[in-house]
Amino acid sequence: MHAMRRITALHAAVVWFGISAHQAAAQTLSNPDLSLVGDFRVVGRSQEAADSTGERELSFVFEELELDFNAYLNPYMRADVFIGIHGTGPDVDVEEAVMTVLRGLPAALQLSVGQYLLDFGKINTQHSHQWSWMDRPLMHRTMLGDEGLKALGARLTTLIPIGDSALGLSASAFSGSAFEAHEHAVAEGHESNEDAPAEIMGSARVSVFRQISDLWSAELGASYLGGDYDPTESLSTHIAAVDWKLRWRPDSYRAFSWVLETMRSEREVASVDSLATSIHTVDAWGAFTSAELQWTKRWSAGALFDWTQDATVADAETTAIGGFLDFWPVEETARIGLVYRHETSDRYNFDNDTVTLQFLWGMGPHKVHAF
Amino acid sequence: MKPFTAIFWLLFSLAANANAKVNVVTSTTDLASIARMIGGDNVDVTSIARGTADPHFVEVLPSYMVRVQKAKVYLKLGMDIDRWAAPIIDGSRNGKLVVVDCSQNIAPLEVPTGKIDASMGDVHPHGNPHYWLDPDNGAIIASTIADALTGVDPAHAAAYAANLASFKSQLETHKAAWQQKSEAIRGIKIVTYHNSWPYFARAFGVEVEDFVEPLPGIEPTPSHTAHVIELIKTHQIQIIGVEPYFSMRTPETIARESGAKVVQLPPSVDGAPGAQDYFSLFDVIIDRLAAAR
Ligand SMILES: [Zn+2]
Repeated sequence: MHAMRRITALHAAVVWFGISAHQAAAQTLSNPDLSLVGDFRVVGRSQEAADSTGERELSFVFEELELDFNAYLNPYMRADVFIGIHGTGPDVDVEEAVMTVLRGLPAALQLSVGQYLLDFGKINTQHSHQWSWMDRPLMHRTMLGDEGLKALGARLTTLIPIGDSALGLSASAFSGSAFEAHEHAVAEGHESNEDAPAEIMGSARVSVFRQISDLWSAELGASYLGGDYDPTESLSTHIAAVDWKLRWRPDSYRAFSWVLETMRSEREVASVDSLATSIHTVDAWGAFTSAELQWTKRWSAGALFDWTQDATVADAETTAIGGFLDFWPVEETARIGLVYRHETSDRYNFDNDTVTLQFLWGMGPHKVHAF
Repeated sequence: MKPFTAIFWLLFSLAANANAKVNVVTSTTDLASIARMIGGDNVDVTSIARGTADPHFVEVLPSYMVRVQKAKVYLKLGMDIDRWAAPIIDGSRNGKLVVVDCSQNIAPLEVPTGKIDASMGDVHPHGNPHYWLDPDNGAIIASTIADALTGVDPAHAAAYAANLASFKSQLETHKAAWQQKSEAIRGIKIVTYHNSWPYFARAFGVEVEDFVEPLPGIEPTPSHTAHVIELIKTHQIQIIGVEPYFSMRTPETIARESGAKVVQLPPSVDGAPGAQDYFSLFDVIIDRLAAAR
């Protein structure tokens, strides 16, 4: 089912580009911007279970090859497509394929339609190669999904000036199928009806961005999402998030940033006992924070704290701490990253140490530096 | 009723304010300075990049987007140097914004021929974008800005035309003074950190022999630094010019090894004390070069 949806989405993207290529020829426009991001990793992991059996492993991981296509469609609209290819196998994933009406709408609204990284919290809107800490926060994995929350739907956003600050408002309606991965994880043997239309869920985010001085800026955001994610059982989920980012950028050599995100999830879960299916609610909290300092053009280092309660299993926690180091050998087109991560869970009975060496490169038009 | 009345008056006064002056946002301080001289009392001008900041790299912040949301005109440098302006303009959601590329009428230098790619460093496909550092290009920028302001605010067309004429005559007076002053630096050979100075060099007869960067946008390497030290010694180069947003470390190493002098050269208005507008910018650059001889 999951693979099926991915292929369909990819097919849609190809058809979309077929159309735009045709129009480009007719209007003698230039090609879309094409960028490629390669993320190759060497991962060393030592795992220790409570029964003191341990194992060590070293693996080479083709984390992702990301293909980005970006172009204006006309003076009012643009389209952005991000396709992720994981490993050398056929695991292709449309991360985003979205058309945005940039201007021309009333009340400074922008409308996006398609598949996009939901602006729920701050971190979910970023592609994973933007994170020096590399691994998706634990609370995202349990509350939003292993690959974060990609919404298939429509979004309205606006930006309102308050003095020199910016108040951002955003609202989305999207398909509850974004949560189907959980459903499988939650209820083993609970067969979902693949043909049933998924419920529509909703989300909203309010954020305030303020430039504290020429060098410092900060953003505070609050998000909510909720709705029924399972049409058959009509299971609901409600998640709220608060995010915070502080950034210092005195010159092109140095930077400091601190991100903090915390989430609270309330999810109805179906459990199957021999014959009957019962529904109960699991409450969970999660938090992630990371601070990073770049002290010269080529080096930066930071630390992370990552903790979550399981969104579908009561009284299960996972905690991780870690540190990371980034090195740009020449300029921003190539980065070598190193992350050490210590992850433990009493409930799931493990104690992991992971060291990851990452080789990240990007070709194509330079990425601009968004906050 | 009361809060609604308050909101109405707030909106009304904001709208009235917006109508009073043409709100102009520019990519850099140089464009802002020229726009202020052309717009006079009829415009309100702010620059996104600070004068001491590297105009190639500006972070895209929501506070810039809301500033552009309130603007009527956006003046960009163009020639690919301020690519960051596009996401700021898009993020502003301003459908009525007039975006003006100030490079549109200048004759570019160093336009690459043939295929360019990242192995050549951060080469600009449309030529060297530091064009505002030739005073003659300043006159062309001023005309472009005057046209743009007249387009959005035809009621003050006469004022913009008069200000443009006055800008051009002031520029001629300054140019005469600069030419006289720059006799002291005519023909001198210098090394600069980045390739920011071909337009300035052409205008004032300075010869830029090499750069601290091995390729545009690429951090200094030991082998290239050694090459620059050799070059300075053999060509008897006296000055290493450094833009305020680059590290002094490598230039100072080169200076120590070669005997040349490091001089901070502001390529933009507000990039150094005294360079408070487009005219005094050239005075500061010429004075600093002359003093270092
Ligand atoms: Zn340059």
